[in-house]
Amino acid sequence: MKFYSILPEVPGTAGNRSVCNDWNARPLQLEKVHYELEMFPEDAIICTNGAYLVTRELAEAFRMAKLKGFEIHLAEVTTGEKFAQWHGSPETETYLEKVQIPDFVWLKVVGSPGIDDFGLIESQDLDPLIISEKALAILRTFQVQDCEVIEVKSLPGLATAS
Amino acid sequence: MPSQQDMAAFWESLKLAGSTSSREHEMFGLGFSFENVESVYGGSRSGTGWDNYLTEKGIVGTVERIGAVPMSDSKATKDQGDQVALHLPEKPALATAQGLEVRNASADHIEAVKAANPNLSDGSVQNWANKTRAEKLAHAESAGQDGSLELIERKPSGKEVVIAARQMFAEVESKSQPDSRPIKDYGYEVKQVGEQKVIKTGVEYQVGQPPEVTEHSLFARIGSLPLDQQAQVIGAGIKAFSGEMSHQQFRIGVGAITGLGEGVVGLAQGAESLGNAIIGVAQFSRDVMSNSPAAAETAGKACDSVSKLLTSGIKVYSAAEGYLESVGAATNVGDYGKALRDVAWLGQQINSRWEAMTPEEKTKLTTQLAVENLGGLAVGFGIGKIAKSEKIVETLEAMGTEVSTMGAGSREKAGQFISRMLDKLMPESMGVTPDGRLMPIPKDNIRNEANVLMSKADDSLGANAGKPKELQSGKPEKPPEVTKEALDNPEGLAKLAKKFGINMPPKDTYVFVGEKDALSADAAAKRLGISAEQLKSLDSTSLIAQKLERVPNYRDAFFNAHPGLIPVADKIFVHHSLPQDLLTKYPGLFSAAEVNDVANLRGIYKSTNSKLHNGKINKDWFRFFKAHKSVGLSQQRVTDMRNLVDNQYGFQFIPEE
Repeated sequence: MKFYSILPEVPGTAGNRSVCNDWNARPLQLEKVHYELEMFPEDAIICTNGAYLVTRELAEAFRMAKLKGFEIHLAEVTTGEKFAQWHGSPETETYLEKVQIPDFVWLKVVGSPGIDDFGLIESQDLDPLIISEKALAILRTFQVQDCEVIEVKSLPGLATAS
Repeated sequence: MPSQQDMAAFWESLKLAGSTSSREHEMFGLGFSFENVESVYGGSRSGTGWDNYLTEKGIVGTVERIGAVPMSDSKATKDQGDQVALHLPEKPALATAQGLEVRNASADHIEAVKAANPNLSDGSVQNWANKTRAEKLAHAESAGQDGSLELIERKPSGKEVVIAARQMFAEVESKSQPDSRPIKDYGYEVKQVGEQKVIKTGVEYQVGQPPEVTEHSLFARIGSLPLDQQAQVIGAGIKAFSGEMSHQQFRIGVGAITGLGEGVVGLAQGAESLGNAIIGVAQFSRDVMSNSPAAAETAGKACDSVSKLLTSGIKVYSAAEGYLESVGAATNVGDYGKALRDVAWLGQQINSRWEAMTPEEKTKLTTQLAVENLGGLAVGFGIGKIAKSEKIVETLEAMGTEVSTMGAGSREKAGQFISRMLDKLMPESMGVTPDGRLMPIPKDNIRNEANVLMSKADDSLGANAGKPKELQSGKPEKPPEVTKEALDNPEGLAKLAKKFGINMPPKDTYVFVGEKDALSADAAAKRLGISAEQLKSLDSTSLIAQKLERVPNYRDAFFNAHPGLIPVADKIFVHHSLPQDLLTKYPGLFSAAEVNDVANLRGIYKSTNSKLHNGKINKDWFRFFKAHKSVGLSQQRVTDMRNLVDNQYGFQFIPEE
């Protein structure tokens, strides 16, 4: 099976109420996710260092497909002062701002990269989130315009990922 | 005295006359809505007052159950005829009170009723031409016109000459529709048979094969739809390509509304092209309305998109205006109000700019473009009429409709003419220089950001030598009011600053160590259990003891440092070039004062650079933090990264880095 390293859209940062036991850990994993949006998220999957969030619909699609290597948890998603800066002016309204912010949940990655459908790696060259071909196919049925995807030829600890 | 059968037929015709949309419903489905279209694999929807149905084209659509949802506008009255015609059981016409009334009606009464028939023809060609296709069909049916008519004069010689003819509407329709049936071409082969040469060739229709849908045939089909249906396609296209609706939903909707169904070869590609053309128009309109510098770049695409749509017979502006004026956003055909308002606004702007031209200017422009683009076609299109037209948009739409049935060469020429005409008439975005000058952003400005103007103005005078006058720096020769307020009048500047929530001088805020959010004095004092006045009196050493830093509000600081940007403060996002995350993830590496220092703040023009901020800079920092643990990370490495980002994207910052 093919695997891909992906870097989703980054429309915000970890908020003050995020909890992380070790900011030095790599790959970084938060224990509690508070995502503070700086601007309107356009995609169904977004991230910040240490956390990936997906819309509830996408999470359900992953679950229905019986993908492995992830858990779904609640995330606190807020808009901060910077979000108001971006979207507070009537002159710069866009259609997207007319839409309610999607209901995001935390996609906690617990699988092994290159084995399960979701896994995290520490690599200089690749982005941390590694997903299977099957997961990518589902992802692509949703709105994902700002997600970088690179096919993984080999993974640390694995001979080949193909 | 008419016979009973004649009167019964007459009452039937009255029922039909009231139902001008019944045929359209047959053709396109009752209350068809893009919003409610989904693939047959996507499950079905249900809700009060709505039914799902599976069309023969394999589409699940949601149909408003007639009568279940009350209508609120005048259309309700108009469509009552539809409801009666579609849902009440038929009664023999003369077995009703109305039938008996007809039986006893006087001649005056009959004439009065006939006069009330909205489809009554006065015999004029103009009246017939103004009718919609559905009205013509309804009229033809009601009048029992199931055949074509020819008026023939027999000459003394005995020769019969057709002096007038009227073809049945359906026949005309079928002839005017492009024949999209697939054709198999057997090629051309010459065989020698003895001394004879036999040529084998031929073409035939491929019966049973799905029709081949090309981009043009799809556009042409949409162009032949009634305006309200065109408006639905345009509105849905904008929504789909703005991310509010999936492309699949749009594609299925286009397939259903054109009767092509889903899965026809070429439909997906055609729908994508259609959506791209539509969003090209809407995006430009949006950019101009928000004075985005991106309009300079999207203008070209918008002109090409409009000409492509118009030359397919799609009346972009009339459909949008018609929707807003009649159907409106509050009916059951989907809320495309916002999307179509922008398109209609653009049409009005173009008309306004045309109206502002003198007759000489109009003639000169039209003639020049006709000579350059139309060549021999110029005479056929009546260029003189175009120059004299009051509403250029409607005139170009009519030209597009006319050319839509012509060959590809003519369409291309007319398309070029329309595109260049629009290029001359499209509105422009306005930009503001740091010294407050308001000026149109040139359409051919390839580096499209507003800060190009800014950066040029920031340069020394020598660097601007040879540049267009309006791009040069220095005080404007005759400053518009914004300059007057912004630079020459401190009170005016303060007023503008206040309007945009900017404090002059900057207001103090407080940041706790290990956090990134700046708090007001009240909020910080509350956390410390002291009064705001006490907090304000603490010096920096005392504050550090409380794990607190006093920093100026970063947005205030930025605009105080760049007062020329205050008039456009609402269009500028103030970005931290050192991410605030440094304060939480790498505590102690930088102070809040350093992160919020004006030297580390960048302006980003809001409406164009959301992607820049979201997609590029945030991702670059994501990768930087991924690669650097807090242990061993130095200030130098972080500032190197900041400089790298500045070098890469700085030309898009305001002021330029």
